[in-house]
Amino acid sequence: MKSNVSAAVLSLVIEQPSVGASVCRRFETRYHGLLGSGRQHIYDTLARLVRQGLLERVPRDLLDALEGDDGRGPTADGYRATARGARAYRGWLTEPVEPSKLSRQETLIRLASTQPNDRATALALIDRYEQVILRLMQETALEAGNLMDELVADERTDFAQAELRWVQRTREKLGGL
Amino acid sequence: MAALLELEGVTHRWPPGGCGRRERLALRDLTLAVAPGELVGVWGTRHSGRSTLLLVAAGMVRPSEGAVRFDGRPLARAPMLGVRGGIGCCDRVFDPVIADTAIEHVAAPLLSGAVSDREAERAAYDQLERVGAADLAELEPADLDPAEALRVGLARATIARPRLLVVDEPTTAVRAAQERPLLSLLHSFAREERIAVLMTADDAAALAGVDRALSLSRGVLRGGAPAPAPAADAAPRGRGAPAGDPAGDGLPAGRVVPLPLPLREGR
Repeated sequence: MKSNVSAAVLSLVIEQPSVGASVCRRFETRYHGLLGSGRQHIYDTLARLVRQGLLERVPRDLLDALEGDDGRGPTADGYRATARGARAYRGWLTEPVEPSKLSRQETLIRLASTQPNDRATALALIDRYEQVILRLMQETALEAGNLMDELVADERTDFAQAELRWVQRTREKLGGL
Repeated sequence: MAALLELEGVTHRWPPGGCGRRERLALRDLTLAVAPGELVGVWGTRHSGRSTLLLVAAGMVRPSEGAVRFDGRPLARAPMLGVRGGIGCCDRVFDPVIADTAIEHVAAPLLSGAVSDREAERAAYDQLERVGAADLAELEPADLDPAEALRVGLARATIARPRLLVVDEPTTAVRAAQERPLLSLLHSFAREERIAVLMTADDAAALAGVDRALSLSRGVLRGGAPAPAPAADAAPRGRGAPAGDPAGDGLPAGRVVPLPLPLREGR
């Protein structure tokens, strides 16, 4: 999947088949500070995912637990994932994350996109992220070339320390060892 | 390359203690191989099992389950702690029964029948110089700050020319400005003398530039990238050395036993 917004939208629909307005509301709540996207962009994403065969439209009255007004008329269709969409979502969740400080954002987006009862996937994400942080430190030179290099190395070390502790806390909350 | 140290399927349970303390599972089915000259850092918080890992790796504690091998031989049958060309364990505990001053503590592991007091003291001074602590030679351990105590501990742990050095939390209680020089010293043992180093830390700073960074949590070890191939031009100390001299330093092989002999001769 090319974009994290697409994957996030797909994950929300997998979690609960919904009309567009509901997807927009849940997107804003769940990805606040992680992904920025306007409502029109989310509707465009939903339409693109349908064209790609990852989502399909279903009549609103067939969906359970639909909430709120879509703003596009009371009879607006809802969305649900196709089997292909579910496979694409799983593939995206398990993609390797490259070691960089951006990997934190990537991991948090995937964690937020993990289904709430899927602790095994969340633990696997956390394990992979820990490996990224360990590699980051492995690749951090002990001997800094100059003062600025040293300051950057210090920041990277503090970042790694905080992230390793976060990984451990998260693992404990997920019930992992 | 064949591993120098191998832990295979190691589980360790500390038995129930006093005051109603329950049995504690410290290591869970842990497997680790350390190559000659490899620098391995293990990050873990308190109660993660990191100290138990080092005790087991050094052969000071026999695991409840699993195998620990050094040079392919089970540590349970052939202890290598303190043996020339074996395992050196660095800590910052200095028993006043063994010796008074830093140099006496460093020399103590050499004081067996094969090495005279004078030779041992000379070797201890050289080793203190090697770790940047020659000026601490006549101080007592109580006068050392944590960084100085670590340097003296490292001199003591490496005086018998080990091929594996285990170090628990080298930067704990050390001032920030002193961390890098201490870690550089540990790196130099691996890079220059081909001593494999296995260290644990609760500070990510200790993982900078290591060959392999691992984490330990509730006794579960999570591995990093495989160790890189060692540099072709860096021969291990013991390579090519006669069978009776595994460290390749011209001193006889065999177990060295610390003796509480005072060292008062001049250098």
